[in-house]
Amino acid sequence: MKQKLLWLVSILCVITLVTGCWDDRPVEERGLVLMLGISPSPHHGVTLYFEVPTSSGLTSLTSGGSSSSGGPKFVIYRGHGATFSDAFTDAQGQTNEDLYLGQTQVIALSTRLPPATFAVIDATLARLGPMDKSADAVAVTGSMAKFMAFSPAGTSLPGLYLASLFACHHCQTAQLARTVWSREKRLWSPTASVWVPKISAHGSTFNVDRIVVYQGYRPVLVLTRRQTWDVGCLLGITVKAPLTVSTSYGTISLRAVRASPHFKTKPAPDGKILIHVTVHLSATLDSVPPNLLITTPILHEIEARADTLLSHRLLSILVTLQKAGSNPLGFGRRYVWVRQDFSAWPTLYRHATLAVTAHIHIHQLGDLQ
Amino acid sequence: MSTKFPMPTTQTISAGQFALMVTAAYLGFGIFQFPLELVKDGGPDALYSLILEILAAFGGLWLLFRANRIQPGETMTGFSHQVLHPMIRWPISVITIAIHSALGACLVSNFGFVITAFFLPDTPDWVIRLTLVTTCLYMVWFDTPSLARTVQILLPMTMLLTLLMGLLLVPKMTSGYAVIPSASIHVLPILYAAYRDFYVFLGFEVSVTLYPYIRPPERALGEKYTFLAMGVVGAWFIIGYALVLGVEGPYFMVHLLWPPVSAMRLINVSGFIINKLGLLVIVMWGVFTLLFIAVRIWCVGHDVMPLFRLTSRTAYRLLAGGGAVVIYLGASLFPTVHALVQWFATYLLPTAIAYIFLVPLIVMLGAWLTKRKHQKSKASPANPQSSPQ
Repeated sequence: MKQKLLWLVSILCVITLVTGCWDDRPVEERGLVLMLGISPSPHHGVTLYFEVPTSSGLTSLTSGGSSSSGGPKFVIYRGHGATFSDAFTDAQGQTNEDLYLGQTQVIALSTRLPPATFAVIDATLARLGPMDKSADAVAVTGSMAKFMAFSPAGTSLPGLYLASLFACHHCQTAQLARTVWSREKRLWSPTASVWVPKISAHGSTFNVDRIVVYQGYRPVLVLTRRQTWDVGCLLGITVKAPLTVSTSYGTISLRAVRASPHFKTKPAPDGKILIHVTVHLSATLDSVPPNLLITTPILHEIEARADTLLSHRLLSILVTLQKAGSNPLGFGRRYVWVRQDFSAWPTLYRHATLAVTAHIHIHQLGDLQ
Repeated sequence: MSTKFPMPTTQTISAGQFALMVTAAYLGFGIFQFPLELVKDGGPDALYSLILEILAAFGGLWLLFRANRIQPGETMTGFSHQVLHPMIRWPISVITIAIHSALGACLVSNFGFVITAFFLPDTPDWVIRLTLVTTCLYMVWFDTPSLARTVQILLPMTMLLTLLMGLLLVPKMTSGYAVIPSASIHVLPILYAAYRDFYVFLGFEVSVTLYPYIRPPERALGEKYTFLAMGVVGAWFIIGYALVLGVEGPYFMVHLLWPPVSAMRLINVSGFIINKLGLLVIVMWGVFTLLFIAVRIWCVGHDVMPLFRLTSRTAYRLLAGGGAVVIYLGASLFPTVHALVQWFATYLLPTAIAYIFLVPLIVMLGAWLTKRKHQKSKASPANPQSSPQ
């Protein structure tokens, strides 16, 4: 009996210890940060914006986001400070909830952040253990305060809206979602550069169809919509991109273009390196001039014309990126890894010879001959 | 009530249980850091280093079994007094016990750091360590068969679950380029990386203590199963290497403290009842940790007993309790994970590797010399008992 009692006491002790009561936080005491905005502070520091749902906002989630009563659905806390921690502390002082980053869905980064500040913040984010690294990273070129305060029509919590947008693989022309994790990973790479989707408020909705490319921690280019689509082809992330081709038969329109790219980096005889990109694309024929009867030779001619057009366009964006010193496609990763010569890569890439070969295959003709 | 040492038949285990206990004795140690050192030191040749260390582990295990066969019915500490001079036997026994305690302390400390970094940042370290060590002490309290059954139930299930969850990382393998080894072979980096990463196999030297507890007719089968289990673990590590490196890429991975943990955190099955499924697996890795530490505590008890000719279960429990206290206190000595890694790489890793590959040779040499001496004394005409064979 005495022994059983001893074991009972021991087991109770273990159960008490493993409950983790030191870290127990009732949900009503937690401020779940759904979106974190990071922008430069006017005084050489950083400003953090925390989008935290109110109890009304949390309730609206269970009712499908349709609840229109109960006041604001989220509140933005803004903290300033010399460092991330200072700014966090400043924001924490404005609420009676424990600001919690473990459920953060989106991290919005201002393109105005000075590279040195960005580097320090990035290191802080990387060290935050409970921080969710599968959150989406986005770039904001305009005012972060306005962006964080914006709420698209028909939705109550912008952070969740963006998270659901990026989680949907068919809801964008190209899958532009970039996780915090993939961004951090690229920042450590001697070859690959960071790119993240640019988000802006457009009318009553968010606009997500462009990307910002970086060189290290410095944003160097905001691509146009077409350039973004071209880079999307080179990255193999296009879903339903369009393509218009001018032929001798008139203007032909293709849609749902999907790409499968392959890169090859090898030394050239002239001491430089040759980067050869081959892209295989598939598309659906969308529209052709009236009365044009599609035959196999005509289809081949359209494909050949599209190949030429795409090859030029893709090479053009590659040269633009090369001139900007940015490598969002991650050329040379294996080349450098196998040779272990990291310092030579920037010069090699700057002088690399680029070549693109595109092969498009129209595999769907719709319901018309 | 006391029992004879080695324990009677009720204390024996099957060949399969033996193989799983030996596997549990090394599997939990390296999973949190693997393959950090491998990639850091082996670079593009890291896969060659991994294969080399797997082969080395097979070699080390084979040596230990050869040493065990000298006296299959006794632990190596137990029979070494017959074949080794006390000046050699005592240091080896003390080092055996010290290695078990130090390995246990390192893992308790490491797992404590993982838990506080990712899950329970506000929970004091001592609580996590105490919980781990207390649970492990309970696991070993009822001695060998009870511990063997626990290992039998938990280890294969956790390994399988980890593998299945790990396969969910395949779509995130955007750095597959680094997994394929280079065509050029650099011998020194390969050897150095294999040495530095050998910690993933440290602990199988438990076989020298556990061997006599296999049912006598099943000992050969026990060896075979242990080699087989090591082959499975080797394949498991190769898959893990490909997944972690493929997901994190070599450049980022070498800056992380616990690369597999960081990779598993990315697993997210949308629509599943548990939001971050990968995190659950990390918690389940606590099973590997518990089994590893429990086997270490068991070893401390069973390695000290023959030194002082102790045979009672009470003595075993007292010694196991003492081992648990030493492991707990040892784990408290590391203020940071950096201090832990530094101390481990400087002292424990070379000592444990030297132990695995040298001690069986010393014991076998001692046994051979003893046998030769006996044969000489039997063959001597001064010995009236000798008879020519």
